[in-house]
This record gives sequence, C-alpha cells and structure tokens, in this order.
Amino acid sequence: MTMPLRASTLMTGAAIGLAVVAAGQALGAEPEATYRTFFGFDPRTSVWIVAELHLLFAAFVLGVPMFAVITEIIGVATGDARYDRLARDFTRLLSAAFATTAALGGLLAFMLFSLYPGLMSFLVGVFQLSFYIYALLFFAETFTLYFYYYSWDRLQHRKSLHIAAGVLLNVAGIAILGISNSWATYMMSPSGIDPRTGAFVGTLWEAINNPLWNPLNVHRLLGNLVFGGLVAGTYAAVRFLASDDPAERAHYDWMGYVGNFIAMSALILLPFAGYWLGREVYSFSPVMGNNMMGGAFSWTFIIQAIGIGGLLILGNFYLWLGMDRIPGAERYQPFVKFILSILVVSFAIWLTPHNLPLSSEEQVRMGGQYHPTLKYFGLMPAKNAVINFMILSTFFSFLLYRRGNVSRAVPFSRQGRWAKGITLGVSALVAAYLLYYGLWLINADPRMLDLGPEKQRYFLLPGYALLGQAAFVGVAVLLTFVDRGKPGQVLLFAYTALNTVFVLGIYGFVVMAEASPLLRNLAVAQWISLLSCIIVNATIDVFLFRRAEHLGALRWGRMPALSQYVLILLSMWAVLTMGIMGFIRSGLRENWHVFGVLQDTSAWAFTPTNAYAARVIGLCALIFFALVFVAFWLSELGEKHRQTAAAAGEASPARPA
Amino acid sequence: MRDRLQLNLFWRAALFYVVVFYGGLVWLFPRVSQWAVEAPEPLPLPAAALSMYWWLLLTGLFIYVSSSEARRQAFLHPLYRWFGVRGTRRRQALRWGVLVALPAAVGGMFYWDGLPRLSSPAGIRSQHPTMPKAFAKLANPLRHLSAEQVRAYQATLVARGAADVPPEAARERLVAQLVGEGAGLYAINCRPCHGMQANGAGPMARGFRLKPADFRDPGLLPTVVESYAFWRVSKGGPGLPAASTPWDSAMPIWELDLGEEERWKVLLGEYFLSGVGPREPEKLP
Repeated sequence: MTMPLRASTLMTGAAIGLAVVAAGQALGAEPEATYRTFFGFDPRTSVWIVAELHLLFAAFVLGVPMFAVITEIIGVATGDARYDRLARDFTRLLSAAFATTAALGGLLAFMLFSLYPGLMSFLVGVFQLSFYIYALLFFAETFTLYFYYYSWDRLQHRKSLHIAAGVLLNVAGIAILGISNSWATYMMSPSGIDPRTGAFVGTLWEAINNPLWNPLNVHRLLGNLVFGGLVAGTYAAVRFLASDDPAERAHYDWMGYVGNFIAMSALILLPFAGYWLGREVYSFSPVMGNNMMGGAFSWTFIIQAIGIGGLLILGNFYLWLGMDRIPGAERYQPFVKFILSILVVSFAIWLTPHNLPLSSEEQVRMGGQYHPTLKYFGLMPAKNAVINFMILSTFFSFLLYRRGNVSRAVPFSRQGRWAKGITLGVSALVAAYLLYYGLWLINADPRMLDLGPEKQRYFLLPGYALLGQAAFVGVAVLLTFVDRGKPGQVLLFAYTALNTVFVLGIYGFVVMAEASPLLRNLAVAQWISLLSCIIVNATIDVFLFRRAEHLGALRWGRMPALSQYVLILLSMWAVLTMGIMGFIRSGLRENWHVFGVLQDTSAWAFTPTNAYAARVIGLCALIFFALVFVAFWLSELGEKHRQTAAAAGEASPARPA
Repeated sequence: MRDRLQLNLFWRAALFYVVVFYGGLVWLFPRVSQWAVEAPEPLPLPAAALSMYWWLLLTGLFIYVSSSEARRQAFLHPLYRWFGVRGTRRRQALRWGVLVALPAAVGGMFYWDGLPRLSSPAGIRSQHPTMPKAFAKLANPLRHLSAEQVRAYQATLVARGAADVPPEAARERLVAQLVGEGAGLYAINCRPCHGMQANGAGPMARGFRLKPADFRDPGLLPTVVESYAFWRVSKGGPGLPAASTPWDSAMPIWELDLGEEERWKVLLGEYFLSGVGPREPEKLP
C-alpha cells in the first residue's frame, strides 16, 4: 500500500527538479521563437496529448480531496462510520493517480521547454517567480496528502486535526490550480503589455490576474469536482461489477451513488461558469468570441454541447435506475416520462446549430442558409432557456429520488426552532439578492453598457421578473410555515420554469436584437432565478422530510448491471467533453502562442480540423482510462495486502510476553 | 374492455416513435414552419437536423423503457413471448422471417443511405469566419460623433448661411444626414441583392442559390460587432481567409468601389433599414 505514495513523492520531486532545470535552461535561451520536433513528430500534437493527460489526472487529483474531506466531515457530524470508510476509499484512489500526475507534469514541462524554447523564455520572463511558488506548493500538496492518508488510523480519535490536514491539502491543491490557470489564461488574454512595443511591462500580479483567470478558475474548480466524482463513480462501478459479495456490492453501489451525486451537484453550476468564461472571452476579444461561437470552432462547440447535455441526461438516467432500490419510490415513477420529455426536447434545442450542414437542394428549398423556424433554436437565448430547463428538471429528479422512501411530509410546525430559523434565514438571503439585482436592473443606466437611454425599457422586464421571483420565494416559505410546504414548492417550481425558461428565455430574442450587451445581464437574471428556486426548495425539502417515517431501508447493492455501465459511460463522456472544451479554449488563440503578442510561426500553427481533434481527444481518453485502470489496480494491490495483514493479525494468537 | 384496448409498453414505444418522428418531425413541423413564415410550400427539416433528432428520440425511448425494472420487463415481455415460446410451425416460420427481415431492413437502410447518388453533398458552413485582427479594434467614426465633428458641422452650416444651430440640434441633424447618405449608398449598391427592407429579398436575390443575408435576422447583425460587418463589406466573398472555406458568397469587394467613410456610412444605413443595432463591444468588468 505504501508503494504508490512513496513513489509519488519521488516522482513529484523528480518532476519539479526537471521542471526547474528546464526553466533554468530556458532563462538562458535565445528570446526568439524557435521550435523543435518531438523525435521527428509534430511537437504541437505531442504537447497536446501530454498536456491533456496531465490535466485529466490533475483534475482528478484536485477534485477528489475536496469531496473526500467533505465526506469525512459528514462522517464525524453524523457519527456514521461508513462515511469515514468512503472518504478513505476516495483518498486511496489518489495515491496512485498522484504519482502519475506528477510524472506527466514533469514530462509536460520538459517537453514545453525543449520543443517551444522561445515561448517558454517569454513566459519565464513574465512568470518566473510563480514557477518557484508552484514548485513549493507541489511539495506542500505532496506532504499534506502523505500525512492525510497515512495518519488516518492514528488520528481516528483526533479527527479535527485530520480534517485540518485535509483542508490544507485542498488549499495547496486550489492554489496550484490557480497558478497553472494563470499561465494558460495569460496566453489567451495577456495583460500588462505595452501596446506599442508588445513588451511585458506589468507586474506578476497583473499577469496572473488577467481577464480570463477567475472565470477559468471557477470553471475548472467545478469541473474538477464533476470529474473527480465521476471517475470515483467509475471505480465503484467496476468494483461493483467484479464483486459477488453482497456487503461489498452494497458499499460500492453507495460509493457510486455518492460520486454521481457530487458530480451532478457541481454539474448544475458548471454551465453558468462556462457562460461567464465565454462572455469574458468575447469581452476580451471579439475575434476570439466570434471564432468560438460562430466561426472556426462553432461546430466544435455543438459537439461540446452534446457532451454537456449527455452528462445531464445520463446523470438523470442513473438516478431513475437507482429508484428501484428505494422502497416506495415507485410512486414517483410516473414523473419519469415527463422529466425525460423535457430533457430530450431541451437537449434537441440545445444541440441544434444556427447554421446546419445543408445540401444545395435544401438551400434552394429553404431559400437560404437558415431554416426559417429552426434557426431560432441555434441562438443564445434559446440555449440559455433550455439549459436552465434541463438543470431545473435534474433538480426535480433529485427531489423525487430523496423523497423515494419517506411516507409523508412532517408538518413544518413540528420541526424545531432552528429549522425554522435556517429556512427563514436562507430564504431571506435569497430573496434579498433577488430584490437587489432586480432593483439594480430597473434603475440601471443603459450607458454603462454603451446603450442609449431609450434602451432602458429593456431592463425593466428582467428586473420585475426577479422581483416576482423574490415574491414567490416569500409565498413558498409562508406556505411552508403554515404546513403547506409541498404546494409552496410547486408554486416556486412553476414560477421559476415560467420565468426562466419561457418569459426571460423568449425575451432574450428581443434583447439580442435591440440591446445585445444586456443579454449578459439577462442570463444572470435567469441563472439567479433558477438558483434561488434550487436553494429555497432544497432547504424546504430537507425540513419537510426530516424525521419522516421511512417505508423501508434502501436496498444498496440491488442495482442492475446497466446502472453501473451508465456510471462508467458518464466518466468516459466527461473525459471526451473535457477534451473538446480544452481544445476549443486553447485553439481560440489560433496562430498565437500569446494572443496578439507572441505569434506562433511554426509549421504547426494551423487550426486542426474537428476530425483530427476527435482522433487526438479519443486517443487521450483511451490512454487516460488505461492508465487509470493500472493506477486503480495498483491501489487495490496495496489494499489487499493491508486486508490480508489485518486478517492474519486477527487470526494469529497474541504474542507471548 | 379498457385492458384489452391498452397496448403493452413495447407497442406503445413503437407507436410513440412513429407518431413523434413521422407525424411530428416529418409531417407537422414543416407545415407549422410554412404557416409561421407564410412560405409557399412546407419547409421540411434538413436531413442533418432530422438525423440528430432521430438518434435523440431513439436514445430517449431506450432510456425510458430501461430506467426501471418494471418497464424493462414490460418492454421485453412481448419479445420473450414472441421468441421464447416454441409455438406452431407457422409461428416459427414467421419468427425466422422477422429475425432475417429486421437486420436485413436495418442493413438495407444504411446501404441505401451510403449509395452514391446524383445529389450535392451536404456542406458545413462557418457562420462567422475569423475576422483579421487588424479589423477587430476598428470603430465606426460616424456612430458616436465627437464634439469636434459636431462643431465642424456647425461651422459648415454657418458657412452655408444657416442661423446658429445649438450643438444638440446640430448633432441630431448630422446623424440624420449621415444615416440618409448611408441609406442612399445602400440603395445604390446593396439594395439589388439585400432589398430595401434589408431582409435579403432584393430584386436580384432570386438569382442566387444561397439567398443574400437577411439583416433583419436576429441571429445575424446583432451577434457581430460593427467592425466585423465593416470587414465583410470591405473584403466581400473573395476576401475571406482560406480557413473560412467552404463559403458561398457572391458579395463583391466593396473597398474597390467605395471609400472608407462611404463604407462606414453604408453600415449606418444598413442598420437603420434593418431596424437592429450592432453588437456593442463588451467591456471587461
């Protein structure tokens, strides 16, 4: 068991050493952009493959500690030892993956400094100090992980210290994420550049805090959680399928469920982070923005949309399959067809491009490049409306799932004082924010968006819609307090769907034509409207069913094999989607290493076709899963060794004194 | 009676597929589209869209029938009954017939789909080709008039013998004049293809296989910044970068015939006639 972690420490040290040596070489290199090949092979594709593999492992290694610590905290709070075992299982997966991440990171750094010395010389000139901080943080992460994992048994009775180590591990991980994101985003949106000379004249902080840094930080943080949850779910699924022991199957069924729950919870927020990132790309450069949504990458974007929609649908599918193990959940089965219909119709709109591939005959028949009615599905307001509908439906699925085995709601008046306080406090905060943003929109000066004063009227509808949302939050809470929580939830759901999807969704077309910069605020209004419904309805739901009578224990382990293949498919789907997203984000720079500052003059500066990208991303996915299965197999070897030793210890008689 | 009329899940799923795909997407949608845009004939879904929706519908049906043990059993029950029971000789023959016909039909469908035939291949067209970076920072000098431009216009008015005009009134007059000039230039140069309503239906439009751009389409002008439209007007179809191909555009290179200020004016006229505004470059927070 100790082998992977010790190896990881050695590998991390070696990787950082190599990177620092390479950085030193680059510091002395010639400043002009020069290129080398990777043993005669295209350097761009070589770096692409290694970088993607490194990022996939890094996403897992940074995502898993977050929910491992949260799971451990839940275990301490509830006193349920199963959570502690689960948190330990999650952490065990890290041990082997961490070494692979470090090895790939070292290889990536070495390749970058060798194959792109000109670019790396430029980046070292800007980011030199951050490289050393990064190396120190890597050491900090290695040692905290080492301590967190190996002190598990020893600190069983000093859990606060153990959890503190886990928190430190996450702090180091998030800091590493932030620093490496600053390098990637700087290449897209450089700051601190003298526009006349193109030279860097800013500070390190200016370079780090470039326009796309925070949007990417948030997007990757959430993405790592999704990814970590899904890969952990895959591990659980494989173990479930390979096991005949009912107790083991029950444990891994539960682990898979928790992994999927974490992934879906973060996935619900991810489209908004993506929207923010996309808007900031557009704000930084209309050229990159156009490339992304309507130009060279527009079709890649459609493929990415299929990836996101597929994750939501598969996540729901897994939940519905899980309802079979819940006594009483059959009451909610009739809802499945309605939720599925909403998801499928929304998905159909979500993946419809504005600009379809057409034959000449079709163009003639339609009189142009766009289908006269279908074209509206391809525009941003339609996409915003349906993604909100899909998220709302997924949340509804979750509520049905958690209600599955409870007989009836407990009257809210019987809940304790603190339950009422929490409900009131959460709702008041949510309503206050809705009122704040709604009133801000109503009183906003259009000139701040470079719009004429006559455009002020377009701000009013979203503003009043948010005030209405705040009112419905109030009504839902009021009904809950008079023991009518369920109708309150239904009302809030209905208003949110109407407001977010239909009213503001359709109004988006008007805003797009008449006051396009406002579309960003309209999307925010839709999002906070949806989020308010999720937060308030989830809070009400928790207290409606607290201490409710159960219809029977959950039959963990009684899941069809199909459900486990869905879990595996989910993580494969996520890997492919992440690959496409990374290709788009990085590819938007086109023939620039650092957008607008340092041009890529190599023979590989062209934008790859979607077919080529699909082959590379597919290859990366295959290699990644092969490596993951080897890493998990290694961690299993250690676990078996531990179990055998423990069993031998129990069986052997005590030593004579 | 009701039980006898109720179909089992297998046949309900099959019926649902037929109704939604053939009834809804193939028959109803084209007619609704025809009614919505008052087209002379039904507007069928393009093959690419129909194919995506077909896969999605099948996936949705698969998810539905397999998402619970009860539904899985209900869906498979007729198949078990059909294939699992030995039955009469006639039934066995029928069973073999289905087992042969079904894969043959699916195989035939894909074979037929892949056969070479006399039709043009479907092509993907990039909606907004990449704008050269040199154009990205440009702004229409006539859209947000400076105080200096207004003062110069006031001086022109005075030189022409007009009474002293206050700055705001002068600004309004200058804007109206520029838009008028732009609309005039548009009428001379753009109207034949794009039409005076700016809806892509000019007198020459019918001569093109690909209809000229409809500037009233909310997915077109409002989605691009004005410098993008300026680039398209200036360079036309032939001036597009190689990465944008395949690209069908008969747009002339207007920078050969119109000066820079005239092209900006044309845009003022174009936006005015189409009733939409340009996408404002967003500011970073």
